[in-house]
Amino acid sequence: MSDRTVRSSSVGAPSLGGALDLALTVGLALIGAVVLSLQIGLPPVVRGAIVLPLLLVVPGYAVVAALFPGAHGTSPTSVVEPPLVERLGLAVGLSIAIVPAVGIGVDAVWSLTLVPVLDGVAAVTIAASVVALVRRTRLPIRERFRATAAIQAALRGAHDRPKTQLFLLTAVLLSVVAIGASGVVATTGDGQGVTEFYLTTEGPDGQQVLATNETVGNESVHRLVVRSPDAPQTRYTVVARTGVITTSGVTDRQTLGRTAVTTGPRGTARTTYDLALDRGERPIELVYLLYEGDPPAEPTRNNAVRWLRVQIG
Amino acid sequence: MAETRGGLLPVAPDLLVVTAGLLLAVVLFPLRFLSGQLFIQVLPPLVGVACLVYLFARYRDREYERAFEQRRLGTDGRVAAGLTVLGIGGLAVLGATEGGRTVPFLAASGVVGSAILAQIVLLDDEALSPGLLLVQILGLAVVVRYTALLTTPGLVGVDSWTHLTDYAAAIRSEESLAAIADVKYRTAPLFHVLVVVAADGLGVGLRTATYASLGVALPLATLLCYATGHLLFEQRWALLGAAVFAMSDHVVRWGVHIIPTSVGLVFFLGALAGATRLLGGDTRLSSYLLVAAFGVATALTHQISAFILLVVLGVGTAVQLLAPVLSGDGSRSGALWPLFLLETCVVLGLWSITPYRDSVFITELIDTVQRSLATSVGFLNLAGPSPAGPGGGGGGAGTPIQIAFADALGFFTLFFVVVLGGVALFRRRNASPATAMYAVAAGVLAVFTFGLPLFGFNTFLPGRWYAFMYVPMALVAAGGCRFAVRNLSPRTAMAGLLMFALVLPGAMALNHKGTPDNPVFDEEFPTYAYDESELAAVETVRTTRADSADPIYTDHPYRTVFERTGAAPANMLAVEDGEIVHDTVVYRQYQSRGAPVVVVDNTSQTRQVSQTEVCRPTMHRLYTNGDVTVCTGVDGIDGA
Repeated sequence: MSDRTVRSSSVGAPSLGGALDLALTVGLALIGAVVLSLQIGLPPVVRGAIVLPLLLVVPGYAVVAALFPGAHGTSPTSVVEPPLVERLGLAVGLSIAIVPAVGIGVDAVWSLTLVPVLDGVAAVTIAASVVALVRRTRLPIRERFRATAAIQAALRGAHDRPKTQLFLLTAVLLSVVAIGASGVVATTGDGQGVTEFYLTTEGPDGQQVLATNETVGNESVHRLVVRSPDAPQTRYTVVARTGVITTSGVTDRQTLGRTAVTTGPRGTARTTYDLALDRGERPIELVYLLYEGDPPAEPTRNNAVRWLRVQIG
Repeated sequence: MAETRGGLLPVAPDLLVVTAGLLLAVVLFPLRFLSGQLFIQVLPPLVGVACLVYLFARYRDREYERAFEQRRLGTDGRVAAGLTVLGIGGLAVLGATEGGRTVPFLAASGVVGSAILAQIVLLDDEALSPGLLLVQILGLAVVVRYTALLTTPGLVGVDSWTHLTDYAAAIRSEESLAAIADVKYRTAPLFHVLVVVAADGLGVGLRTATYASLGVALPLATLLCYATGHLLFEQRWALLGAAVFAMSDHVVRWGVHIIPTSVGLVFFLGALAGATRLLGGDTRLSSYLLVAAFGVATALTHQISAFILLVVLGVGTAVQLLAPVLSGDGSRSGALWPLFLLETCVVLGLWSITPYRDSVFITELIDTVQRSLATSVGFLNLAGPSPAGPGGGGGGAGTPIQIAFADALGFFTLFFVVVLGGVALFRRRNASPATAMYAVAAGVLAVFTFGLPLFGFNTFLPGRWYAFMYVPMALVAAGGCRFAVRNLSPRTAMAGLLMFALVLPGAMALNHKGTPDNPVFDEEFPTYAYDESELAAVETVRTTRADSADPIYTDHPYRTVFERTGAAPANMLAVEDGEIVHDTVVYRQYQSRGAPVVVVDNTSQTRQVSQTEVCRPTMHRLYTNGDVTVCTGVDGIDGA
């Protein structure tokens, strides 16, 4: 377990360019901790831009910088230093471990709330960045990791053949726009909301609960609910029909009544049927038909948008 | 060029491995006459053919790499990259307009994936740009996963409902981990805490927070696979390994069904990247800390992930001990055994205080293993979740063989190249402790995934091992492709690699494990996602159901949403003597046109049922939203 990178060598003063990534890391951590502790009502996009790097990259990047202060391939001994891509991968992996680990620590002494967790993450990030800075300064200048140099190396050759470069940039831009627009379309509903139609009865505590086989057949009062959150202020009609159940089918069908209801601002409407049914020897079928607007002249299950059925007796 | 001996062995290690492979293929081949299970039918011949191809190429004893290089394309890689990037953008548009990952979307994603693999294989060294290719790999991974996430209402999968709507929600509302003090995630809460912190930080719900944070982190973890590959091979093969990993069915699965397993996979990748550094000669304390940190994080996230990491670290330790016997120079490598020991202590320590059922996790695990050994283990005892069953990769019982084969084609393609690479990595010139660890790890993980279930031993949940197994498999497959380029004639190698590039992405894309939101063979494999109507019914039942009401009966997996959201106690519909007779049933149209799982004569199976079978015409029909209907029997009604 030797540590070949940390060794006595010519010491150079830290330069701004060599520590730009660490300054940015510390800055992002502090901004996240301070801004979110002030509890300002930030727009979601701004909030996301502050919080997501803090959760996914920043603390891990600082820890990787502390663990591996040298640049990849700048000397025979630094070949093993991770290149930029590996640093990013490790940064993401470590970040999603560090943030909840800080959360567990905070939970042990406090309560698991956002501000102390972000403060803890910022503290870890700053501490790791200081260690990274110290370790970098102990390396010869040309062996130090410099994010700017790594990015420049990654972009090397980008200026050759400007036409294909232009094509690539255009393709990337178009693709990014297409992906963004697709995300918006995918998260936008199709506008065709769900319309629910159900029967409730009074529960043991007096509240309305979904009817069950133990309650619905005994009740003479049926409470119907129409719920369509995407269609507030919409007029529906409920048609109640009965029939007598015989061995050959349902006979003596008749309409008991029609009730027009309009959904409220939250898309819910309720109506109650107080039934005075003539309970003979044969069981009765009660069907509630739901229509948007007015019902047709001959309401049936087939032309209703929704229907419910209760058997009584 | 000729090499016959390696290390202390009397023969070259690759010849020893290929002989073992051929013997295994011969021994396992007759099993096809005892079981019709697809993997038993296909894997032994695949192993045999791959070993024969290896022997053929090895004994031709010619070096073809330079000839292959001359056939590579010297075109500007940015043109191909630009076209592929446009394809990725088009894919996103297609997903949004289709409203999900439909068959055209999956086919198109396969084409884009093939374009990426083709660039990796065909472009010459000057045109090959790792940065551009990584952007394409990540872009495709993000679009494929987010199309599923954003077009699916609610959550994808089964366990996600418990982790988010139960555990994470409880932690968030109580602002304390004490909320999950009674469950096994008390000692493995990293996933839940991260999601809660993300939700509070972003000011959104748990679902959105999960998708915005881990939904991004999971595809980005592919960078760790690339980094590991780059420690083993040249850039080209590291890119190939990363691309294969990102496109693999089970890896996509944990990118859309985001639970602790998903995060465990990221930490597993990180630990392997560190272990590869160590084995590659970076023996600094930093590398040890890296593996230790990811190892502890894995143990604090997910029990199965930690166990799998333990197995791989154990393999690495064993390979290091055997290095002088096998091949390769292990003298520069850092020691893995201290990390294996540390991980073992951490895992055992945590498991001994992890509450599980009425005991602790380690005790229950030992009891379960003993029970399995005593009751269900037996050769070819494939009952239960076999590799082909719900937890595995192939078709379920009763699935037509053509569909099961098409579903598993991606895995078979990868497996063939992995066998080739697994043998090739033992060749002295290729061998290193790290490559040997990955080759052996792929084999050992395959034993846990396929071998133990062959004996009816499913205690270690083999279905969860696939994605982890794909890490060494993707890397070893890259080694297999490199071997093909070096040792097969350019024409043969080109044909083989093109076939691989054309088949693998599309075949992986259509596997049902990678498409839980909308499987291609939707009458064979259940859909683990729900539409607005189905979720509205669950929510209404949750908010209006009386506590005293009877449990409901519906299909699997729909019943799991009722249970895991706390809407209602729910059981599977049972068909007995051709009839479904329950007090309260929930019918959804999916039961008549999808792949619902119901109990038929005491056995769970995929079977469609009609609306009138479930909601009989004589029942009360008390709730409907057009798609979902709740019915209750008339028995027990006063006066009935």
